[in-house]
Amino acid sequence: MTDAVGVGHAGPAPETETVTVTATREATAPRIVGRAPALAPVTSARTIAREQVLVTGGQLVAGVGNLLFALVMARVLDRREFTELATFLVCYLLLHLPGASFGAASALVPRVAHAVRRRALIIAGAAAVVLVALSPTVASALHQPLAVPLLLAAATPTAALLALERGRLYGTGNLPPLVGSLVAEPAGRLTVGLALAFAFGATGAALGVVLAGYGALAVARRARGGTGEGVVRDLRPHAAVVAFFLLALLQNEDLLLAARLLPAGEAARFAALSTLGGVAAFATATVPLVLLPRVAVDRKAMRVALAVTVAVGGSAVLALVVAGPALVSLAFGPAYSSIQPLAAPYVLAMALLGVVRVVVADATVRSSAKTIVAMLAGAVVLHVTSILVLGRTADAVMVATLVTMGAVTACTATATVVRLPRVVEWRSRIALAGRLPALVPIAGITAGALVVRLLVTRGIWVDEAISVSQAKLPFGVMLERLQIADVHPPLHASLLWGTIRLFGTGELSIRAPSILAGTLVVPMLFVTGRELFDRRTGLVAAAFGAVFPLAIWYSQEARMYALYMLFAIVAIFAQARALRQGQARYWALYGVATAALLWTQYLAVLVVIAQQIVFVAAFVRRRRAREPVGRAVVGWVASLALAALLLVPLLPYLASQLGAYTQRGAGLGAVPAQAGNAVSQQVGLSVYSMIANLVWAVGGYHADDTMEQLAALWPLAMVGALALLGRRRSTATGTLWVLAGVPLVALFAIGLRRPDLFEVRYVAGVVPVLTLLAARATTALAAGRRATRVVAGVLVVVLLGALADQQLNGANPRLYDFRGAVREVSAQAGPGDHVLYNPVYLEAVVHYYGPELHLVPVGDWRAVADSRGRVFVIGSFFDKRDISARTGAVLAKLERTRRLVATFRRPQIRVWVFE
Amino acid sequence: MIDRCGPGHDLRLDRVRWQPATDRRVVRRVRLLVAANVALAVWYFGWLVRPDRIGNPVLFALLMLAEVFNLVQAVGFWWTVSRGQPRLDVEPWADTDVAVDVLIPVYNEPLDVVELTIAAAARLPGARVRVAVLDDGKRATLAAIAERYGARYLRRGVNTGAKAGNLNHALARTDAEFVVVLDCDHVPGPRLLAATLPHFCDARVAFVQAPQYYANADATPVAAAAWAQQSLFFGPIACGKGRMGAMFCCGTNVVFRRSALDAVGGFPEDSITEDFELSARLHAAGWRSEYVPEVVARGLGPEDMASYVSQQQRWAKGCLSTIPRLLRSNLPWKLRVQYLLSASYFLTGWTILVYMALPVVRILTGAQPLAGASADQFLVHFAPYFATALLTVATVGGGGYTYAAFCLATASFWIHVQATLTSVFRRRQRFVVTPKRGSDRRQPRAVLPALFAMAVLFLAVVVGLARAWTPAMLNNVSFAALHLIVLGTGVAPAFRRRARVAVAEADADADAREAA
Repeated sequence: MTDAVGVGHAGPAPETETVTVTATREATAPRIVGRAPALAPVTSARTIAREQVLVTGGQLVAGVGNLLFALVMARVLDRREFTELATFLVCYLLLHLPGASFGAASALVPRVAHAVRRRALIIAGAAAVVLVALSPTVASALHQPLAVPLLLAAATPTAALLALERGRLYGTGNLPPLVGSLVAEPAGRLTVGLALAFAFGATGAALGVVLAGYGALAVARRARGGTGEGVVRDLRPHAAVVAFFLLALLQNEDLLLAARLLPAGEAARFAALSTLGGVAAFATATVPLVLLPRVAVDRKAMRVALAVTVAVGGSAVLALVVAGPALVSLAFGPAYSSIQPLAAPYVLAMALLGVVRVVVADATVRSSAKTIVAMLAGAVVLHVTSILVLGRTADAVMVATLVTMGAVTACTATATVVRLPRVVEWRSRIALAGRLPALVPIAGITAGALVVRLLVTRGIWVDEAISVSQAKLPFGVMLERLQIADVHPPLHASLLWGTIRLFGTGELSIRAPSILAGTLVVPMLFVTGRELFDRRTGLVAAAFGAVFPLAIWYSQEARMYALYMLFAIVAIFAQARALRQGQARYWALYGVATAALLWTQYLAVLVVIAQQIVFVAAFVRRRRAREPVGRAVVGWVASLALAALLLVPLLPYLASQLGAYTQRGAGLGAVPAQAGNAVSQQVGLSVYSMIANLVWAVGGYHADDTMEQLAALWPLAMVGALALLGRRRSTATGTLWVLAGVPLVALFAIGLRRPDLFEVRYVAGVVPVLTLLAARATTALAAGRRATRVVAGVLVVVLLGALADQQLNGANPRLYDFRGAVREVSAQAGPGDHVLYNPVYLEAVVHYYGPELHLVPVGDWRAVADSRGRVFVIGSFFDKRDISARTGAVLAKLERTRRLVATFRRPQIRVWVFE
Repeated sequence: MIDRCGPGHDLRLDRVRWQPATDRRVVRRVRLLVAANVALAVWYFGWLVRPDRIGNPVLFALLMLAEVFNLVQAVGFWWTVSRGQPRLDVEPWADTDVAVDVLIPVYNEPLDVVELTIAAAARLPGARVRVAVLDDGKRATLAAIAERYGARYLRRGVNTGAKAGNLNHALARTDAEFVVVLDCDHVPGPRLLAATLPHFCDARVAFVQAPQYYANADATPVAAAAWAQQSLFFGPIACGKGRMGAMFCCGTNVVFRRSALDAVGGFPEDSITEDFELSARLHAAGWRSEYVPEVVARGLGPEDMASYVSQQQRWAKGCLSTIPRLLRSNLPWKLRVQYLLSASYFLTGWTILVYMALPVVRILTGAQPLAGASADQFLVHFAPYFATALLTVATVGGGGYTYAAFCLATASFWIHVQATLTSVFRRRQRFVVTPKRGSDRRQPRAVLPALFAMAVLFLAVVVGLARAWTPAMLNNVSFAALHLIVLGTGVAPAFRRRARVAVAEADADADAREAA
């Protein structure tokens, strides 16, 4: 950037004189036009860093001061008065919400402050008058004294003016008075506010807050400058106004919604949490504003801003990770110790918001502003929706915020930050900004996919609970346990181990990695579909992937299958790119993805074999076409070598598991029943089982009856086969058929010998391939864009129907409602009661939902024979004859000495109550 | 949309986009598939043909008849297409002074269609070409056109014997050693004689057939489907027949040795498929035939449903009426089997009728052909057989044989039934010229029997769904729905209207030319 703006000027210049950037930059960067630019281009990164550090320091001081004020008030005021002050502060915060927008506008174009000052004052005055007029009503609605709305009315003029004036100072680079203004506010609160609080209680403290605001405004107003054009004359600050307003919403809406939605105790927990997060958000709030006027004239400004944001945010997270309990206890006392596990993740979310603000500041100066605004609007919707849907506890609201911030960071950073290195070359090569609008649909679909995946309707089941119980162990112990008792590679378990330490063991927390991985499958489907076919197919694939029932099922399960799907589609994408473009990075990506697949699920070897077949076929085809294959073969061998290298550490682990498996003689017993066997005369695995699994792979899990009916519709598949007649053979489609067919047929062959291994989740990596095939069939068979939309829309609706049946139909054989059953038992069980469970591997899940219950496996039923309390028997997996017989035998024995007083069912679970 | 009507432009002058010769690699692949087909057919029929499979004896017998007939047809298809290419290593024809009569029989076809054919025929290189326009339509304007291109104009007093009679009338008035027969819509290319005459170095060769190519395949869905069917025949099937010396004459794009024609008394006038009948007679008399897998003329296929139905009816009636004579003939066994396979193809409609009837009967009465077998067992034995057979067709056709072509053929089942009955009851058969230009109207009457079958199938689906949702019932409902979908796709073109503008322009252009 500096190379082009080095000719910019610091002094006055004729109005007609224009300093244009080079031709290649013109398309993506705003024109730098100079009539008395208020801010000279800066070439020294140190200077920029100094500015950022200075302002951030001021902001930190202000933040600490404000926090100190709140803490002091918490001790000075009684509980009722402190609540009153807290309410006032929340309203004050709301009042200042649009302030960020004004600040951004005047930072970009400082003369905006001068131009709109009078108008802002008139509007604020009018608002104040209205507020005063309505003050009795507002006070009544807030259950607060009349002074609160009156003081808010008094503070109204400062809301817009303070932001405008500070923005002007950012824009003109007049930073010392800005820092003075920042520090003046907490100083005023801690002096005047404290004094008034002693004299008049909460009302005095609130008055002190208002006066401190005016004090800060006076400091800012006194500083001169800011009547010039600013550095970017032809930029209209509307995008920045909207973007920063949306950012302010993103920062505060969870607190507002939590206060509204959560029970009082949970709301208070979240308020405390929000205070901590607010510190991180507040600390980095000035960084984008300092950046705004600089970003157009110096790319180093962006890097410095990011560095400062990451440093500040990262420090906050680190501090809470290292000394979380102490800090939480110090800040809020022991009453709020339960928020300690949530503190680090929430502060991380706010730190991410800081990064987003910087990215947004950068983007609003460029042509990608609209895209960024659309992304932020999507994030606001996602955030609100997820809180409305999930927000029953402070933990859930925190997760919603973290997921939203993660998503918006990923989206905005992908759209913008990737340009950071060698920006001029990047622009000239790919004109990224021009492509950004094209990303809006996929961003929307991805956001939709995330929302769908967050709508988890079922509790955890056996395997998930076992995974959680294992992940609770110390890392080394967990790995040892997995080697002895588990049959899967350790990648997901390790991820879950970290997740539990960060977010706890809540349902949503333990499923977060799967939700995230399952959501990432969607954009990967888009890029892979686009790579193999065209953009339309990519979009249709993403739309299908967003609602594909089986993909959603495993995206909501705290197991490894969502990762399996993600790595599989990443490997396919890398394979396609490597074969087509031959670049080393794609071969490397393929090697890493392949290794990750096998670190996730051993049976992914079937997927890897299919991919190797594709490689060999591609080389053979090239040879036949007399095209060079040497480089591709070298890349292929190198990718295999890389994968092998990455898999070496897995080998001893695998050897241990194999040894333990052989010694045990079988795997875990919790293998769900196969559908379709009821209509088959064949003993063991039948072709209907295969069809049922295929239907599952496409349409999700459904009741046995439904599956048998669906399997009987196989003649209709002949239409599909016939419809392929005359279709031109496409290498890409053929490749997908190989990638889908080989693992499925191989698993069927394995299943003929080992029926327990014939399980669709073991080839979950095929699900993205089936999605791509469905998308390709849609775009190939539907002629024209409109027809494609109609067909794709109809299929999405069908998939949504299948999804609803899968998620909500209690007859779904994979739906085990342990949550409902155990919570019911917990509600009924008293201190002296016992809970028997069968089979034995239910222990983890029963313990998960009823940790307070006195659990006994049915094998030890005699232990409860003499107890005086009631006995609950929880049973499941009755399709397995031995389990059913064992449960029946114990029930019969209990009936001899006790009276069966109740029994109830939940999907796949049955509970008996004996007295 | 066809823009044959455009001034100065005719689709038959466009570049040929089809190659009938089969790639050697494809032939190898086909042979592998044929081996798999044979194995899977044994696997399926070994499971099916067992006494304990018999449910309702009548239905089982019908099913077996249909399955065995289709198996025989399939085996014949596999046998033919796995033979590979006909002879291509022939010496070039040196005698450019040899006389060739080009006979163009015309009845009532549009003059603009005929004119281009005459013009191209008159310019044929490689021999002393004498073009004769055989006008059964008796139009003076055609005589003028013939004169313009230096062609003879022959007109009969009485139109007896249809096309065969017309050709015989011309044969009596011409004397060249070789005779080319071109339908009036088939524009010959410059390689027609160069590609065909060399085969006559073998004195036993009676005729050399070249492919029929529909230049208007993109004009309408019917034309596209008809062309897809043609391309399968004139591609791998004709190549296989040519390799075996069993290629029969297809009525156009064919070069005859006059002496061979004379030997069998010219074109048989008692058949509406005089070409097929003539070929059988020539082969029975010891003559040979050759096939040239090269497009040397470009013609027009049926563009609307009525034209297609008319063409299929003629072929079906003509071929089926030949079967008794074929059975009595003294053809070598290989040739006889090939002729019988081709002629009996037009019985396929009966098997479709059986397949459609079985689920209907099961749904309405509960009677079913099979017993002692579950649906999944049937599936596991039938699906591989079906899938491999389908894959073979797709591979053999090289992507040319389309779903629409399959559906159109299936929806024409009633034509086969009708033709069989006509042949069995010896009803009088009339030669109907296939219209060369499509109608712009919807033609539901052309597919009325198929619509009736669809109504019955639909009723069966509704009744089945109303009765029970058991897997067994749903399986039969699915079969009925499968037939319903295929028939629906097949008859759908009869309900589409062509763009009026193009047709009107075409007609106006033709009228203008005729007036001129």
